[in-house]
Amino acid sequence: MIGVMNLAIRSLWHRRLATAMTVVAISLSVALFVGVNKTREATRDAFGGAISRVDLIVGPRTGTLSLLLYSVFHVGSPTHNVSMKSVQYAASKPQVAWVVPFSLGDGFRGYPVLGTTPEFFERYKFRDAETIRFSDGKAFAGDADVVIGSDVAQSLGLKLTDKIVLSHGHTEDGDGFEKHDDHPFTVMGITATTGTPIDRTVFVSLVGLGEIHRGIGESIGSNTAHEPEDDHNHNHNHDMAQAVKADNDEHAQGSFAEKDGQIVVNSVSGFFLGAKNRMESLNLQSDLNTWKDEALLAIMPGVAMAELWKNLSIFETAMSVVSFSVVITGVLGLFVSLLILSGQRQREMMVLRAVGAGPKTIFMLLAGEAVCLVFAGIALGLGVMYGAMWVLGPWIEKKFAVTLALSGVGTYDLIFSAGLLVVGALVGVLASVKAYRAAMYDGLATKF
Amino acid sequence: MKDRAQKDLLDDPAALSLSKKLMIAALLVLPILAVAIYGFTRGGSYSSSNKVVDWEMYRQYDPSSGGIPAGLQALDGQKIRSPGFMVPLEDNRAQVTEFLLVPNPQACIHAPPPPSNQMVYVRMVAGSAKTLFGPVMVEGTLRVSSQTHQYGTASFQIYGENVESYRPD
Repeated sequence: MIGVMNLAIRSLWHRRLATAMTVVAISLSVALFVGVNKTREATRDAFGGAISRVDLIVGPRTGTLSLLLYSVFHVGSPTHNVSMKSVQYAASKPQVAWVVPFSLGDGFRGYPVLGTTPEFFERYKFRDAETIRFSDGKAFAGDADVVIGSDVAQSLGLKLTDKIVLSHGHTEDGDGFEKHDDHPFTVMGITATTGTPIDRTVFVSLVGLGEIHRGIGESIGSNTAHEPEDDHNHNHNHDMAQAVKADNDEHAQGSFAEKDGQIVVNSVSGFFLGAKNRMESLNLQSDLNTWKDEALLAIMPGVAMAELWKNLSIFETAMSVVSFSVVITGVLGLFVSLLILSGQRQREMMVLRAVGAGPKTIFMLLAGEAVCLVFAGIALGLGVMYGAMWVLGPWIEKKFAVTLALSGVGTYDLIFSAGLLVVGALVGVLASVKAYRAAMYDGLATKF
Repeated sequence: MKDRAQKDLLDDPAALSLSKKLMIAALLVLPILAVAIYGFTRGGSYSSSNKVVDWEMYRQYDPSSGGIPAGLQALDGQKIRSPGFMVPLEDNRAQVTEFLLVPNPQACIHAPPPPSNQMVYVRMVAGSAKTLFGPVMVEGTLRVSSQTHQYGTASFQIYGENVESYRPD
């Protein structure tokens, strides 16, 4: 047996170029298959664990998915605000345990700024009810304090007590030009890595967020209704802000107003809500959705997330089909190369038979070669894929907010590899049957 | 000459028997595997034969009086099965650990949410269940409690062990 394997490896080495090409072809298909699978898992991880223990997300009336996407993943932007009156109304309901308002729309060097209350860090959970922890410092307390996510701290090289200046409005590639140097924020805390959008968020208090809007426009501009691609547009969507039914305050044009030098919060982007009893989520959702005073949309994160999966699964299936086809192509390539080789190896077979190699030995040799090829292909493919993930992982994480977990070769990969090995051996045997028959005939036949 | 060589080959017992065996084995194993997989995923019947508690039975509970009918009370703490639709409360990568079981899909906003006696809170005790959009059959231990709160609600709870797609008879 060992002798046969030895022979197989030597025989492969003898045909180095063909062997190398076959191995590369197989490894590419393996790398693609594993890569697609890892990306799918990573995407699910990135999305699936982003919010937990929040019974309702309430925002202005839009679609369920868009509310989920901007409130949890900071993808897209809200077009309306929710007045503080609605927040207070929801908080006053007897079946509501807690309410955490949030405001989005501004940025700090490409990272979204979330204005909220310190209670956010206690209430907002991720994955299986994990609490946000601080790797450094603590939650913000004052209005000049800021908490930054682990990614923000790492990529911008920020540490505790650093002073940063936030801007009004933001895009992926840069912030607005109106920076408020007169109101710098001090880094009070850095959150521990969560693998969720929290890592890429800058947290300030609602009043703190109001401070960076002080003096924008004639009163204080809306914090959320901004144009993503045009940040120095000073026509701050006052119509939209006015459409928000805010308090009777005469300055209630934007989300924030100034009263005796103090910032007053008129409206927010939305709020997270926890019910005393989760059974009441459905009733609360219906109550808020049908509230006459303001058009609200309440969604259950679990339901909206399930809806998201349903939509994503089409793409996942498409990706799987493509990667599986590539694997089939790889196996077919192996089959073809073995078949062609078998034609060239009739003399070899004949010699082996002549020196006493039985049919079993020949089969073992050919199947063994095929297995060796597939094994080398799998090893190279996995090596390339994991190497690429190791090298490109941090960049992908930063760019696409997807963490490729280097959890090692998973069970799925192993099952796939084992299956591929078996298929490779079968293909080798199939090719060898033909080679063997040809060898018997051509090799031993009298040539005229 | 050629026929002769072919014949020699065919007479070679070891070579043929091995390749033949492999072919036959493959031909036999593949359909069996396919049938097994199909049967495993589709299955003709539910994996359990516990009593089915349907929405008509839950409806017998009167939330305003708080009285639990004897039939339901007897099932408290028993292993049962209930059909319904999932409203996921906690979703983790398309797996659900907590959900509300309701008699109708909740995609429709034209009607108010189901009353308290038409809602069951399910918590999966062993791991999680796949989030399903169609009708499901939940298996687990039923808890009936007459605690009263905001909506005069008594709650039905199932400590879920297994969730399967609902199969009409």
